[in-house]
Amino acid sequence: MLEHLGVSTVLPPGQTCCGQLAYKTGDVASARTLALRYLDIFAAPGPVVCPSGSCVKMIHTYPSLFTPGSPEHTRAVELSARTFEFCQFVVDELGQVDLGAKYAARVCYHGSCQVDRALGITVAPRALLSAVQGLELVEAERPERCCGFGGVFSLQFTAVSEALVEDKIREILDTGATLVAAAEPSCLMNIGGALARMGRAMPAVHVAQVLAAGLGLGSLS
Amino acid sequence: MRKMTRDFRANAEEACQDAPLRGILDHATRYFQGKRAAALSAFPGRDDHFARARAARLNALSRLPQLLEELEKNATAAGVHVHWASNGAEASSIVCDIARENGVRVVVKGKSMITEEIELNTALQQAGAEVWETDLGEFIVQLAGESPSHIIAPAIHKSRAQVADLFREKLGLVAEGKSDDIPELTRLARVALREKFLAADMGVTGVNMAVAETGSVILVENEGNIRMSTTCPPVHVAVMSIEKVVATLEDAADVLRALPRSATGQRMSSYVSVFTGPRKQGESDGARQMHLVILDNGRSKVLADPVLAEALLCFRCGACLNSCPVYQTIGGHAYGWIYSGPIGALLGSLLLPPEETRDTPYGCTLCGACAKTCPLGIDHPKMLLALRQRSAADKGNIFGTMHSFLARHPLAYRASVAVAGAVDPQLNLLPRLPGFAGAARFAQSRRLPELKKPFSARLRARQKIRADQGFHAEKENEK
Amino acid sequence: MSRDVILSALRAAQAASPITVPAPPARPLSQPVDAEAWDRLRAVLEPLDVHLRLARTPEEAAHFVADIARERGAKSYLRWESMPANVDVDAALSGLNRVFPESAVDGRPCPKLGQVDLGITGAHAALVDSGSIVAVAGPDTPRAASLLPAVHLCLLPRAALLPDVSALPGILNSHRDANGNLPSCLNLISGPSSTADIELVLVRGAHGPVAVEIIGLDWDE
Repeated sequence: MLEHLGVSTVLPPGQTCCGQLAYKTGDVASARTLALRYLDIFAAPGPVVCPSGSCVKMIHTYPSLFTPGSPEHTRAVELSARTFEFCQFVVDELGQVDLGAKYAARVCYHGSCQVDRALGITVAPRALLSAVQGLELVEAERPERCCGFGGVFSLQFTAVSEALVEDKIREILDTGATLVAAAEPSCLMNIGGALARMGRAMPAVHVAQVLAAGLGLGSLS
Repeated sequence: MRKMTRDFRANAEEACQDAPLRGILDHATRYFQGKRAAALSAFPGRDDHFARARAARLNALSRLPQLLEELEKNATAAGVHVHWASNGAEASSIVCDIARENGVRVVVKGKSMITEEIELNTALQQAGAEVWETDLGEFIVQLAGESPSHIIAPAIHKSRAQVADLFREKLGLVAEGKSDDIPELTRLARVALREKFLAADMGVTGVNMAVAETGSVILVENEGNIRMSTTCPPVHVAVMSIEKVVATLEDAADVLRALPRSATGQRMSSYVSVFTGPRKQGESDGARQMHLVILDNGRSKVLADPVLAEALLCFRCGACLNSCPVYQTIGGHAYGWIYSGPIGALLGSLLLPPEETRDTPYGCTLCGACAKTCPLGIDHPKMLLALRQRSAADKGNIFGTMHSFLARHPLAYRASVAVAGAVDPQLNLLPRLPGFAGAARFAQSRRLPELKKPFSARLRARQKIRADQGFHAEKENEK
Repeated sequence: MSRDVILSALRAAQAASPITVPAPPARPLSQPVDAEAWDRLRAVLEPLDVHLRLARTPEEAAHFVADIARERGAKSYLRWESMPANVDVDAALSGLNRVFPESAVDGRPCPKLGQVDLGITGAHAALVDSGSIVAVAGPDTPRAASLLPAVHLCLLPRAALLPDVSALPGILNSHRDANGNLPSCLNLISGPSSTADIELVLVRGAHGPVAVEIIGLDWDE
């Protein structure tokens, strides 16, 4: 999608994990170490774009891992300021909304607490999807309600997590959508994985994948 | 009520599979959220009012010792006996002494979380007094021998039929006509408790706010049981935790502007009572003797914590409970103590010993609904994360340690992913490894993503193809 | 002494991590009491199930008192010593038994007050925004009058109308006694006693009055 939009991209090598998992389980020391790796990996100037809202949030959290005034803190602030979630980058930085995509389907957009609430990115993803010709955008009854993943939460409070994803899926299915899209891969894994276990054929895909399919650059199976 | 915070995880897992409970919680949380949303959308200047309420509470925390001294001075001048207690046992002992000195045999109580926290009823009963919870929901859970399941509606988990059974079995109260008609059940409680109010020797309440500048105690309710408990018996004992003080009547008014709307969607609760001392000469009702017990019970330690002190801002509206997807799914009892939901997870972790609340900070998806809803801007997820950090400092977890190691070593990371991709691309075997029990449970209800060729590898391959196709191909791709 | 232990712990906490309080926004202006105030009050009282009648003269007010007593089938009443604007409540209720609040020796309200049908009070103030009657306790204004009887009837003079609860400090201060002490008790009464503790079904009349009736005294005093 980025290349299609005329952006030349580089994938810096050595990327493993932004440190979100460590941070959210309380392992600040590891989170700090991983953050320092990423400060190096993304040291070159220029915008950093990521298709994972939660990872973008983590990078925005990097400054809080370092002492204000330290060189690491300065670098973290600098990196944070130029790290964007994909939809936000396309709409706010590239100024593009209608990409000329065509995809006829009723699509349920899952806002994700990581994107809607944590990042406050509520407009860009919905705008991009709404602009796709033939696409009918719908939302779950309680669009802001967590899908129940919560990272380590889903491993420790599995039944509660399952109950929440079931609630979310029920609401998604009630919309009559044939596809659920989000800007947060962890939610997609959670919702998509549960849909598959239930034997439901509904794909759970990233907003970028819907756009790419609408431009003939990829397909959603 | 025995604390069961240690069993939080097991209780949560069990509660979410209780279908009738899930139905009640769904109904109740939607009801409260609906009322609140309607009230807040019809509240001009809402954000400013909430900001002022936050400032009033924060100002109180910032000057807590000074305000408590001022409160003591002014309350004493108004004729209130002020007592101080470091912990629950001391507070209960003070209240029992007051009861003993006044020959108290019957006590009526308003809904008060602090008195449940210190298990005051048990102490009074052991001292030989009959104690009656008079808030209808508390009355019901008292009869059932349970703890409240929600800050605002303690008996939300009980059906009308269960209430009718309780009234009949425990008190011999039988409803006229249809045996589980809700107004009739309420009437039964009214009649039974009115007798107690009029005969009681002492009324015990909590405190919603204590005003330092005047020594006043403010109580907020809908049923009238607090007014009854403070109008009829000759002695009134108000128990407050230290953070309940506000500086001025203006601050109290700012809080009253926000609290009822956030709690139940009301512009004002049915009754707000401002008590400044006992009854005056010539008055025919109201307590003749008023006591205020100021209790620490672990709060001063919390106040010293720059990250966690914010939890003390809470004015108990319950909105965070109703907005929390976890609370909506498991209810209040699973938390194992009297405070539940996001604020309950915080208070429990702060006020109880760490070994009793190990799992509590992890029963949260960090979705942020609570922080967004809280009228006072309390950032529950930030504090729960800080609690995870403190507990992670002294216990490790194999999954996390392994992941961090691999994440620091990209070659090892790629190698392990490649191995997994070759051996177990559908991730069927991985969850069965020891230490991956959580993943095993997760995999029961989610199909795990298939391990494909990593993006970086595919990108490198594509770039190589382009390079191999030479200058001409590159030119084409630039179009 | 616990007092000293607690205060010194708090002072130490304060010194170790002082809390700064940013200045809050100004309090939004209250809607002043104007010609529409009665209408606004009526609108707020309606969902509280409180009926507001407006009397233009003391005689009309007395009529309303008699009407209400008849509608409610009241046989007994309890009232504040002085009624606003000399509305002749006793004449209006000549068929009823007036009960007087005599305390028992130990100061408890006598149990017979708990059986009274109608409690009649004036109002020291009323808050239009929340539909709240303000009652200040005193020798002539017992708390029981607005609490124990099944129905609370309030005679509310127009001059008592105030915008909202921001007026509370002023009201309290204006009722200090000769020694400068605040009243022992001030009540804000916003509708009848209510509960929804059983299955969230709203019931009027938990422990306080089942109903509140207000007669607005719509004339200049």
